Amino acid sequence: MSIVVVLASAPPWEDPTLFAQQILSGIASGSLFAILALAIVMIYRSTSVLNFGQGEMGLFGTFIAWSFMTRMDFWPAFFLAILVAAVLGAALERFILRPVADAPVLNSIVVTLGLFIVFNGLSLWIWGSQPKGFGPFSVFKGAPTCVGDVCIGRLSIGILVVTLVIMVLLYLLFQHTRLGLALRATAQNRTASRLVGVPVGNMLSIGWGLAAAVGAVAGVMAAQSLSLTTGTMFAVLLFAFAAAVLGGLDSPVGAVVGGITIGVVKNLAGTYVPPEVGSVDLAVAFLVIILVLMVRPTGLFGRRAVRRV
Amino acid sequence: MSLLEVDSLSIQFGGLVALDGVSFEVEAGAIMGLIGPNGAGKTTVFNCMTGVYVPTAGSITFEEHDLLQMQPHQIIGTGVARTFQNLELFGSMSVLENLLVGQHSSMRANLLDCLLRLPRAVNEQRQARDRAGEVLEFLNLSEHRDVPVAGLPFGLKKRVELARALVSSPRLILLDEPANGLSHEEVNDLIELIRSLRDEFLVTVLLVEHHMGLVMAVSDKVSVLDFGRKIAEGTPNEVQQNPAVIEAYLGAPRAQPE
Repeated sequence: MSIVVVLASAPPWEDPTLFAQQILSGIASGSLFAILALAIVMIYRSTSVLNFGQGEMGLFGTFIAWSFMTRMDFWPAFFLAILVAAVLGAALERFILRPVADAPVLNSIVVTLGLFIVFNGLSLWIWGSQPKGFGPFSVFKGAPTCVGDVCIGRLSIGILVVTLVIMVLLYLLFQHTRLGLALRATAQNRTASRLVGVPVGNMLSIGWGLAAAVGAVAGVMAAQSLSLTTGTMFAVLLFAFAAAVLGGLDSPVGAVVGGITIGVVKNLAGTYVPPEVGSVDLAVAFLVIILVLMVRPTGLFGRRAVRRV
Repeated sequence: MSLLEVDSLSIQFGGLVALDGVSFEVEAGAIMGLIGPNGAGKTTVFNCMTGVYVPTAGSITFEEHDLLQMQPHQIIGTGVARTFQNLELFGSMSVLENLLVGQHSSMRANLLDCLLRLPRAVNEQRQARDRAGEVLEFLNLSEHRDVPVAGLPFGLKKRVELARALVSSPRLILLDEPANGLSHEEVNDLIELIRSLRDEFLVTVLLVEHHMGLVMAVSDKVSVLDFGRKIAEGTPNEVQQNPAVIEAYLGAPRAQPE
């Protein structure tokens, strides 16, 4: 007697086009997780706070963008919403997070869980539970681009490009500007930063503002592919957190690699695992994370903290 | 008027009086030693001066600046830099990057200048690199320029911290146990180094140190703290012969039988 493994679709060696297509789509949806994971990593690096509210803050920014769009075109509304999100993020750090900064780490976790609930609730209260029509807008709309039989939608290309632009901008900021150097210094050693003249409080606010802006971009891109409701960002947040952990939590490169890995694994699981097993893409994605963390407890790109004892 | 005037400085932590009315002055161009047994309050004086602690009473005046009225990050702008007993470096940054952050207070270019590479940002960046290069050269650190600080041996890390303090072109430098963990030979080099800080960089030096050989060799004046109070002050010679100082370090002599 032999065990026959039945795949839901033809295996890659019989249908390479489907396989390539699923990898490509996985990369595109993984980029979405990568953007939000970048925001989570930025805050974790600079303030050692895990921001569980990151997704819902992005959702709130996306609803703001939706409101602006009833009065103006996509691009001005997009950038205006990002600006509002950044100011909001900075204000949250200054007035909500800073007072608990010296408290045990659990306190700040409870506060960011609170942010999750508050921003989800606020969105529901202001904009209601009806799904909002949200794009795709302008350049993200149009016929897919195909190479042979493998196609990629304009929105997927857009998400990839936006991810790349964010990465390049963050790289330039952190590696080639005085502000970026001061932000990195603050993340590493606050006492020394103050001593050399870095206004540490302002840097923390700027860090949160930047992350909130990146989170809002993630929201706007997610809502275009998933539609805009108060539930839009929850799944994205789960996968983004998984991506951040897989990448090592303190590594921006890790966040992007983690996001794309999870996007691809999730898509392949959805394609090849037979439907009678149930919807397993989430489970398979997390299984991969557990396996990686068993081998590399600090994540793919995480730094191991070595302390002399 | 002296360059630095510390007047009646007091600080308490809970019931513990860490500093109790400590006063001293440092003249411009001097090398002054601050000594005392463990727990005497030496590092606490530095922490009050750099805004790490807020004293309960007293004043600290550097030139015309009231340091106690300033935010910690503003103090370096007045010309006061320091090193730490237990290093406070930016570990995953290179030596050069540490020295660039060290010049944060003297740089003005904003985000837009940097991202657009405007001449003002480019010039400022080049000047900062040149300045870092000079200091690295002076402290024999040039070959380690692009190495992450975390991987350097302890003695080199101490020099990097000194370099980071020096790049800001301070007029007063606070050195907290610079000889700690150094070999005998390295201490001899350090004596020369501290002298050249004053003679070549024209920096006034305030030194907290346990290594008596070093303190007595370089200091013009020495102030002695014990249990948060100043118990003596004078030239190295005077201080070494002061009975109160000997008692603080060695304990009170036994009462002689009559």
